[in-house]
Parts: sequence; structure tokens; C-alpha cells
Amino acid sequence: MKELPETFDEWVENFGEWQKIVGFDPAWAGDFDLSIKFDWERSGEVIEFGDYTGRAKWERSLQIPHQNIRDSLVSMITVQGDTEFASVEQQKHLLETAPTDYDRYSAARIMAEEQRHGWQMCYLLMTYFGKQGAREAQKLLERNAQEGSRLLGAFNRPMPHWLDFFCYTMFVDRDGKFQLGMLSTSSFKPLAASMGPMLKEESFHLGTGASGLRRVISAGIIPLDMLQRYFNKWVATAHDLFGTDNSTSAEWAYVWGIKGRWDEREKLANNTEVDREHLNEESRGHYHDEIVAEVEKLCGNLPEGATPLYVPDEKFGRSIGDFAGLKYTVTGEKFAGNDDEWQEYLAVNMPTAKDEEDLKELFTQEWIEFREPTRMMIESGIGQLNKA
Amino acid sequence: MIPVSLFGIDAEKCERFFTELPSILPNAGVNDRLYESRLYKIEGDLCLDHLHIIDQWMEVPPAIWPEDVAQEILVAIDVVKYPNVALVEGLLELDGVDIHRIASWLHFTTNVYPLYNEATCIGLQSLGLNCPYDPNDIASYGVYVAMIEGIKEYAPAGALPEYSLPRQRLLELGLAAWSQG
Repeated sequence: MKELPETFDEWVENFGEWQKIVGFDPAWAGDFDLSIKFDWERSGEVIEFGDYTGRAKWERSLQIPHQNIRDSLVSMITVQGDTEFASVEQQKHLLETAPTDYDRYSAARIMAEEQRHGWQMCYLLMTYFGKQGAREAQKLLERNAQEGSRLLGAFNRPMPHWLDFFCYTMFVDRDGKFQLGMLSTSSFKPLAASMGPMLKEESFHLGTGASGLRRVISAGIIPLDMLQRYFNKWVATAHDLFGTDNSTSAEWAYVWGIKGRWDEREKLANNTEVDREHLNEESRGHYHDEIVAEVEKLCGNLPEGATPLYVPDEKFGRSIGDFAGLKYTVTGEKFAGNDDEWQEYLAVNMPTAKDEEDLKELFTQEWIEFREPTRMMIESGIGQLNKA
Repeated sequence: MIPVSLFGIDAEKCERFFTELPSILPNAGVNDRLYESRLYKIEGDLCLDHLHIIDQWMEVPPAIWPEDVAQEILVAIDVVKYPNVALVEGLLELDGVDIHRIASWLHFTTNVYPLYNEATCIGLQSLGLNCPYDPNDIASYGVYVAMIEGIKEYAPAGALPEYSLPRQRLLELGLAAWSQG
């Protein structure tokens, strides 16, 4: 792999090396168009919020008024790109154990799209941020989720099986949707224009999670209390992804107009006051409300009389923010017992080694409702269904 | 960039359509369980049974085709590549077959071709597009397919909320409801 790419084409060569290293066969992407996409029309002409409101959006890095704003943008683009490549590293091995060809297609397409999103971020780094950007673009190909060196904890977590995959696409990819949405009004126009096409692709990932979990529930093999434990694990992880409470970096990003609130345009239209000191909390709250509604929809598929599935409280199982490492129940109350009792509580509410063992047996049964891939899916070559 | 297939579109009206689409859809028939069950009932290699399932959904009497005609239909549906429609034109010569029926066969077997309906054409027309409705003209359907694909491509991410249905179906229903609203 060439040390430091000087052009995007050179970076693409290194990307091919990365694919080899992580073991992603390019043939699995079939006819997927791995290219750079922008939606310039909806990216806005003038800065929409923050201290630079009303000025023309920045189209080149030299137009950005301060180095610290450039640094912050590089950091944001890098983190976004890092998550994209990391998820491929986390999920790649699942193609071999897909429960159906339909799922194999879905996973392969998601991985192809995540790679395109990574390309897009690297294109921005390589094109707009000189050597600093090139160094970061290169590092995106060098960190590795399997080695635990990706930037965010959630993207270093192993994903051993398909139940994790469906929970991940339902809950963690949904965090991605929120992050992309908040960047879609960015004062840096190429970043804002990158978000529309990425968001459209992301919605397929969320749909895969939601319909996968619906099919798991309909099949009735995975015990619902076990399913709930996996919800708890991934929801807590996803809550963490919104960052620390009282975040000053989120506040600065808002002041500079580089990252807005969720639904920023609607909030501006409605004159919704901005609480700059609690931006992460606010977006986490919107995310939480959305997953509560999604899980309620899933409950519509439960057998009669079954205990409804739920979303754990924002305080439960947190590793980041004001509630990091604190003992809160899934319903948000402070846990009253001692350490041993807390361990017992966790064994009931978080996946256990026994769950992992039990799943091995359950996966030998018809644990997910069958779904046939369509002809177009097979013809696309994505997932290499006709050769699998 | 606005796709070529949307040449002449009233961009402002189109943005309004995209803004309103998420609130239009819940009452536009997206929760049609029968449709959904048919969508996922088409399994395995294309066969005549699939067309019967689709005909039943359309509430048209199941046709009894001679063997060679049945083969001709299956081959035509099998070889056509989205968004092209020219290869299925010959099917219009068969008794009782019009664009509605062909579009339904294509829709359920590929999940990408949109169902054909007049209200959706009117919805497209209301956006300033020249989309004639003619259930016996393959070219009209070709234009319709290209326009819906164009709208899909042009739609901002938030316009199409999460339903586990093909986006062509969401747009076809949304445009039809928009034309009536």
C-alpha cells in the first residue's frame, strides 16, 4: 500500500489493498456503483445557522475562515469515514452464514454502500484538505475494527452473528442516519451535498434491520426475553454514539455552522430555540423517541399475550456521558442494590455467555421467516447469490 | 441535478410534493397487507403460478394460455431489464392484456417496475410532466417508468419514510394520492 496517497486515484489503489486485507471480495458488490455522489441542489447556498449565518457556504477549504474550523471539519469527516469502513470489517464474515439468500444480498449491499460512504468521505479529505486530509484518508484504511483500533467504541465491538447484525442495522445504523442528517445542513457545502445520497442509501440499512427483526419475531424461535437483551445491548451502544453531555465540541460545531441539529431546517422555520450546550442530548432524545416508535411497530408482530418489547432508558448501560458507568435500570431508575445484585440484574437484562451458546442451537432451526430474493437482486450480482 | 427524465418539471411543486409525501403516505394505502403478502409470495424461478397469483391480486380472471403463449410471456418478463420496457410490447397483442396487467406482472416479479394507474399519471402531470395515460401504449408506460425512477432519484432522503415496500410503490401511491388531494 502506497504510504501517503497524493491523488484520489492513488487512494483508490490503496482502497483495493484494504479490501484484500479485510477479505472483502469486490465481486460481492456485483453491479453496485462505487462512485462519488453529491446533491448540490439541496445543500443550500448560504450558511443556515451559527455565527456565520447568511454568508455564502464554503465550497473550498481556503474559504473557511479559521484553521480550527478546518480541523474540526477534518475530524468530523474522518470519524464518519471511520465508522463506514469499520462496519464492513465488523460484518464481512456474516456473508458466509446468511440465513437466506435475501439476507446475504442485503448484507452485501449494505457493505457495498458503507464502502461508498467511506469513499465519499475520503474524496472530501483528499480533494479539499491537502496533506492533512490525505493523511487522514490513508489512516482510515489502516485502522481496523478487528484490532480494536477504530475511533468509536461501537465500531470495534465484535458482531459474531446475525441477531447482532439485525439489531445493529436497526439501532446503530439509525444513529448514522441522525449524524448524516445533522451534517446535511453544514456550512461546508461539499459535506452538506454528500449527505443526501448517503442518507438515501442508509434508509435501506434501517429497513433491513427493522424487517429482519420483524421476521425474527414472526418465526417465533428466538425467545423474546433474549431478543430484548440484544436490544438493550445495542440501544445502549447507540445512545453512546451521540457523544458526551454538555459537549463543547458540538457547541462549537454549531457556532461554526458545520453541524446542525436534527431537522435543523424545520427547527429554523419554526423558530425553535437552540440550546447550544445540550446539542448531543437533544439529538439523542430525538433518536430515542424514534426507536421507541419503531419498537412499538415491531410489537405489532408479537403473538397475543406476549410481553411487549421495549427500548431501555437513555441512562441504562452507558459508557459515555453523564451516566457512564453508573447503575441505572432499563426503566431509568437508579439501581438500589449492591455490586453482586447489579451483576445479577445485568445477567437478566444484557446478553450472557449462555445466550451466545443457546443461539448456536437456535440458529440451526428456522429462526427467521424465509424471504426469497427477487430476480433483480440475483441479477445484480450483489452477494454473488447465484454462486453462493 | 434534476434527472433528464424529469425535463420540464415544476421544481418548486415537486419540492412541495416531497415535503408532503411522508404525511400523505399513511393514508395512501401503504399498509395493504394483501399487497405485501403477494409481494413476498413470488418465490423461486419465474413460473405461470406467479402470474396467477398476481392476476388474482388484480382481481382479473386467471387466463388459460396455450403452452407456447405462456412460454412467450414468461420469457419476455424474464429477459426484460429495468427500466427498459420494449421487450414486453409484444404481450399487448394478447387478449385481455394491457399495460395494467403487464406492469403488475413486472412489479411483483422484479419489485422495481411501478404499477400503472391513471391517478399516478395525473400526479406526474400536476408536477408539470408530460405523462400521458394510455393502458395500451408501451411507450407511455416507458415514460411513466422513467419518470418515477427520476422522481425516486431526485427525492431527498427524508421524503421517503421507512416502509418495507419498494420505493416505486411508495411513489406510485403517493403521486396518486397527491393528484386527488
